[in-house]
Amino acid sequence: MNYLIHLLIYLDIYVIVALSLNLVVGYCGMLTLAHAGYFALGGYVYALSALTLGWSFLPALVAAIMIAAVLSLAVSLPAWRLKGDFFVLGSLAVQALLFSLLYNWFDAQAPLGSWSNLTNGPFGITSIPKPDLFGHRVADASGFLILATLLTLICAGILWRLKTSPWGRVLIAMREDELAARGLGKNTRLLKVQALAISCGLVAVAGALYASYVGYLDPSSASLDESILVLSMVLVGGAGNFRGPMVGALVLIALPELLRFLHLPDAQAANLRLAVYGLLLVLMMHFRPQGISGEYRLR
Amino acid sequence: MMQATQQSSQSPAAAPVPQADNRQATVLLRADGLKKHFGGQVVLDGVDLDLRQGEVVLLRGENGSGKTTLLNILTGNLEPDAGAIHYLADDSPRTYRFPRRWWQEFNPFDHFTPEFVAREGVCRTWQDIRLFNGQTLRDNIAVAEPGHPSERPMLALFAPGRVQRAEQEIRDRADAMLARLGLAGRETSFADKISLGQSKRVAIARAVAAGARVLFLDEPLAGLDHSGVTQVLELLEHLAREQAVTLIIIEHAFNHIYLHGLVTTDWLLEHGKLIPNGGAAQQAAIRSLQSAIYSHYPWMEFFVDEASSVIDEPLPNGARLTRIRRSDRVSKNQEAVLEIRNLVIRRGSRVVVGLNDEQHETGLNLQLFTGEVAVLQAPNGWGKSSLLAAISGLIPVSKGAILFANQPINRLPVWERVRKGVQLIPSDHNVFPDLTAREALRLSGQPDAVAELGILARRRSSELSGGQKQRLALLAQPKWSPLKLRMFDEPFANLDISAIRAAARNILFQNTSTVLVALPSTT
Repeated sequence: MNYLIHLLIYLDIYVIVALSLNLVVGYCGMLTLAHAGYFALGGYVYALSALTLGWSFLPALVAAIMIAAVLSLAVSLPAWRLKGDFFVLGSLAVQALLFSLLYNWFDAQAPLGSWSNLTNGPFGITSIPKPDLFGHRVADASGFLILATLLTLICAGILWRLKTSPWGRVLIAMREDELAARGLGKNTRLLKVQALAISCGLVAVAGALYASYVGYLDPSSASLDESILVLSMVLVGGAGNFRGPMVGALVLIALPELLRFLHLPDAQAANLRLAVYGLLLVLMMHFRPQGISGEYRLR
Repeated sequence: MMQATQQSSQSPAAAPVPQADNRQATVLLRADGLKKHFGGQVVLDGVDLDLRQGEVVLLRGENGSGKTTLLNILTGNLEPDAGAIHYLADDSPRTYRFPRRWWQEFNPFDHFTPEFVAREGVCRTWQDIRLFNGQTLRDNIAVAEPGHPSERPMLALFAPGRVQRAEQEIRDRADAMLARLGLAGRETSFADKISLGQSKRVAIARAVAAGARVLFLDEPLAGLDHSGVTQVLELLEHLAREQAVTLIIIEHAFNHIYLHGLVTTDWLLEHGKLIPNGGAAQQAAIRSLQSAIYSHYPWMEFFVDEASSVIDEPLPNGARLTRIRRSDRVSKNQEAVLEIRNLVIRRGSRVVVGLNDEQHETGLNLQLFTGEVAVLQAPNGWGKSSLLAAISGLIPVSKGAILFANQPINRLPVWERVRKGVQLIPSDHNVFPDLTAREALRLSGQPDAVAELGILARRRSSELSGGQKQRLALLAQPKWSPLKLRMFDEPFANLDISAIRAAARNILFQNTSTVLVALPSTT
């Protein structure tokens, strides 16, 4: 039972990640590789706020959202000029920068959370407290599942409302033909800033949930592998479609669990998992480029 | 006299718009001393112009004269090297002076970009339409609504009632506009599911919904068949008459005739200068075309002479194949170069080629013989481009056979067909954008043709104007293959009259291969 609850919590977290990434990849048509960086950023801000400032869950979560939203300018400002492959490379640079900051902002002599040792570098942050809501600590797995599901529903609701609003319609117009949208007077620069800020803010929620659930966070959460994993969720499920990222998250969370039944050694299983992701992506791109339940083909 | 001719032939030419005294009307856009050069070539050399409310301008000029450059500059898509543009259509006029200072780039409220110009009431349409294909027709028009309060994400999240009210009004307006375009009931159709003529009208309506008081139209009639031309003209007349929208039209020479009743002002762009009411020589050339247009088809004059015989054959669904045979090209022993038997081409589940007049799937049958020039005229959506693409191997056929020199080629890849002598010049994406014109000609084994392009040969294909690209595509036909069948999809698009003559000469006389030309119907 606990195993199932654990899987469902992971599913909740990755549904938020995939849905938020879909806002940028699916609705804006901008393929970003920096999303895991913002996921980890949310987790680190939550962890440091809770550990060093003693903040409870909600203020720490708001701090994570705000900081991730502001730092999303690192991706959205280059997106004013960079298009297509160049934007992908730009986002890769931001991802490398975030990873590098998390990995290297470390001084063994200084206490965690100080200016010299903000992230504890490769050793990561341990003993991250469980969420503390209105004086009640959510310590057991089933309570956490309820919290995670609630936050997932809120995030999905926000994204659904945005997607179906006139704002979402302009995003799709920008994705279809940015120059034509500009020719109708649409400020596509502002749209990109807004979309990336919302997307990064929401993925920070997932990061905070992850950090508080696992209790440990290290820079590997911001690695390129993670970015590719969440991008795979969106592309396999179907970009530009609300169901798609949820389906993708379900498939890519369930897949490694199914591999467990093969009883492979851990080292082989990890490599096999990556190989299966790669194979899945290649097959999807060839036979169903719009994803399992997608409508829009990434160009 | 001219009008009488038009009426008698039931052409779709626009009825004359009542001519207001243009000098009295409000000036909506003024440009002073616009200059632009590309490399060493001066394209605009001090262009001054005034655009007044309700004016309908036909902007003429040879290929490469700078028509599209001027359009791009006035709509904020390109910065001129010098001059000033005054946008006066809005309540708060705005002036841009060029060259702009570098620090102006940092002022977010003072950019010279398409979105800023659009907010001044100056919009454009594109030759390639550029509808948002991932959206419904309703959304294509609703998205253009200027200053929609619900385009702010915070309002969308926290003021759903206000969003819904505003949205309902905008949807109603979009639906009413679609109904005016004759598209009632198609509100939820996706934009890539309507005909070319309908797409062009939706694109124009979208620009008007965006608040256009000055609307630049880049070849609004290009590629349209007779009914498409009629529909677009009706919309343009409505805009000019009922809504006093100022229209500036760049249009292909063949289609100028349709615009005669609509146009109030004639501009000729020549040697970088704008000559108001100029173009006398061009007008004479157009008039010389009129007889050809109304007696038969516009291209006839270029393909047919006294040494030719012409055979018209009807094809299903309103298409027509005209075979032009010249005694010096066609041998008495006619051999079929291309034979199409019961051909069916599908796109998804939809049959695009192969339906008969009763819409039954019978397959298309067609033969082309050695040395003849066959012109396939068909309405938009008939499947002309699909047919040519299938013959050249770019798309698969669902049923039937394609025989080339009596050999089936259905299963051969594109390159094998080219090696056998089948060649297609598509209507778009027909040049390599990053190659210079000289490189493209060398690649096609035509270094001698470099001289024909003169100074243009040094420029990258992507830097050429639409007409110049088309000229290059027609010149750069590979000579290294044993050409037996050459196919051209709308080869005259973007070309001025002298370029059309040259292209037709090239198609007819350069060698003795069989030619298949696809054109939209004009009747």
